[in-house]
Amino acid sequence: MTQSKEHIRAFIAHETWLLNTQAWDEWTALFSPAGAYWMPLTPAQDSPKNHVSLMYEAAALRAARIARLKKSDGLSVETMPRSVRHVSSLIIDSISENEWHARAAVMMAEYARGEVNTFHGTVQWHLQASGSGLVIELKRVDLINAEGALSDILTYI
Amino acid sequence: MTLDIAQLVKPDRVHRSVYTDPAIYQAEMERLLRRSWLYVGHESQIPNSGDVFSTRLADQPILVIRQPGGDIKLLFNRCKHKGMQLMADNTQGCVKALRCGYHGWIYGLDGTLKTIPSQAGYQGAEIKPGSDAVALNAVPDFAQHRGFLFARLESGGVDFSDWLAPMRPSLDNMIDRAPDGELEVAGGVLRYEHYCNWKFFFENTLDALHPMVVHLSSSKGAQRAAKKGASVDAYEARALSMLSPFSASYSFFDDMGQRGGAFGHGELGGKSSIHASYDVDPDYWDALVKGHGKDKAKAILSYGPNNSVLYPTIMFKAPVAMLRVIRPLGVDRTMIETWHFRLKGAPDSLLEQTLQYSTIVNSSAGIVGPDDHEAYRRMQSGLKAQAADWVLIARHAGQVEKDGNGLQSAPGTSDFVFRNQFAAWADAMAQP
Repeated sequence: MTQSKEHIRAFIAHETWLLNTQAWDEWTALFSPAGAYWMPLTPAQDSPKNHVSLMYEAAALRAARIARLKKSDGLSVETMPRSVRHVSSLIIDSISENEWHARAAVMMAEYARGEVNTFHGTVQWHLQASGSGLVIELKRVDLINAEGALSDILTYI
Repeated sequence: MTLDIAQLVKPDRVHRSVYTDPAIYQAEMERLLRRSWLYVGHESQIPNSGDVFSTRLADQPILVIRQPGGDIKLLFNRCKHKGMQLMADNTQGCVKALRCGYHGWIYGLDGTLKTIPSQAGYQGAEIKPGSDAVALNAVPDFAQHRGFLFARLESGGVDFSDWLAPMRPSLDNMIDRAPDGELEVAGGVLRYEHYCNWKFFFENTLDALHPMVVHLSSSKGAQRAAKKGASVDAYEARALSMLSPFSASYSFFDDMGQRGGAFGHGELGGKSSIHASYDVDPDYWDALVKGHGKDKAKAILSYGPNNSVLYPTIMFKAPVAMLRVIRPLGVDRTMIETWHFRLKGAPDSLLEQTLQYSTIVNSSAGIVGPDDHEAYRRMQSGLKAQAADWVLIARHAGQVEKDGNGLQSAPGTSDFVFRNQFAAWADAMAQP
């Protein structure tokens, strides 16, 4: 089935909503089997393998993090962080009949341990048609201050 | 300030104020950090004439510059006119001269003042090009070891080679792991801001009693994911194998041992470590044998400490080719930098492994670092409790054995390494 830009927009809104409501299992299920979540350290980074990143997680590492979040198991997540993402200025490009590249600005506020921390950056999705829907091949988040002295980031942006 | 150090550090305990008192932090800056050998960087950061980077040593702004003849010079990053930093912190470049962006004073790469705009307005011999009085100030003590750069902000005290000696075999082990016998900085630098006293982080690098508690959920989560495993590729499988040993048993960490010696130096592990079970890339083994011969290659890989520390600000991980340096920012604020190294002559998979480990374990967005950080934050606030003054470092008291290279050894979970650090701390802090 051919996806329209409207489908892509709805998919991204849904993906954001799942994160905003801590629906971690449904969220990670949006990825393809090899799909990855990536927060590079520099905007020019073209691979997680030749440069250190803030985060690079395919299915198994996401499962490990999500298990910690769901059970509040881990000193830094004893109270599940509550967070909300504002995604704006969305641009959607078709790469092929079955592939799309979407990009947007993102602001995430994370409430943990009595404090709200905010993170700003750009976000990109590489999406692929799968059956009647879409899957995420790669979600990439570039924080504007990724190379600065950041403190804890506990969940996905 | 009068400090009764003897009242703060006892053989089996330290007073909570060593972590919480701003006056003690200020005294640490003056008596310990500015008088200690500190980590500057690696020469591969500035390979060519005119290459320069800015950094901080203790609380001091510093420029590190490659001179035309190949030497490296350390200058205080402060214009002699009004005091502006010539370069912003943590920046780098390649320059022909250093120009202050405020009033345009220009210095040569060696710090000599070259020109002052509208020079005629100054009288006398002092404020003019070539004058020593207006040359950039040099850092007094500078030393290199196989590409690693160290400096001391105040002259006097132990010679660099004596200071390095107890841990030199461990640093050499990290360098020798390169088939060509040289390292180079690669893959970016992580900066992680911690809201705690610097000593919490530094002690934790040798603390073998916390991984099975603090990191249990991450380690078990990785083990469960590895078992399910259907869609795990080789890259992610390696990530899981890096997390898994964090929940190893007390006896595993005891058996890997620890060693400590002069100047507060120490290390955890040696014959074994949490890195010992990593697969060795056959191409790397071949390159290592080609570079060093089979016997030496075997010896190099058979020694692998978990973490080695050069007191008071450097921690390195020989088996993973990385170094973490403490940049204290205040009594309860500390920046941790993680530097990564390419083993020259090794296949790309080695750097990939180093960077992957750092992304998972050292990043502020990982599932290891933030749990450690939370422990430090809670100690920082827990020690405000007025009802209890002492932090205990009593485990395995008196149980040390003589080891090689002037070091003493103890079971991996001993507090000996901390007692050893505080002995060096108390020595330094007792000198006004």
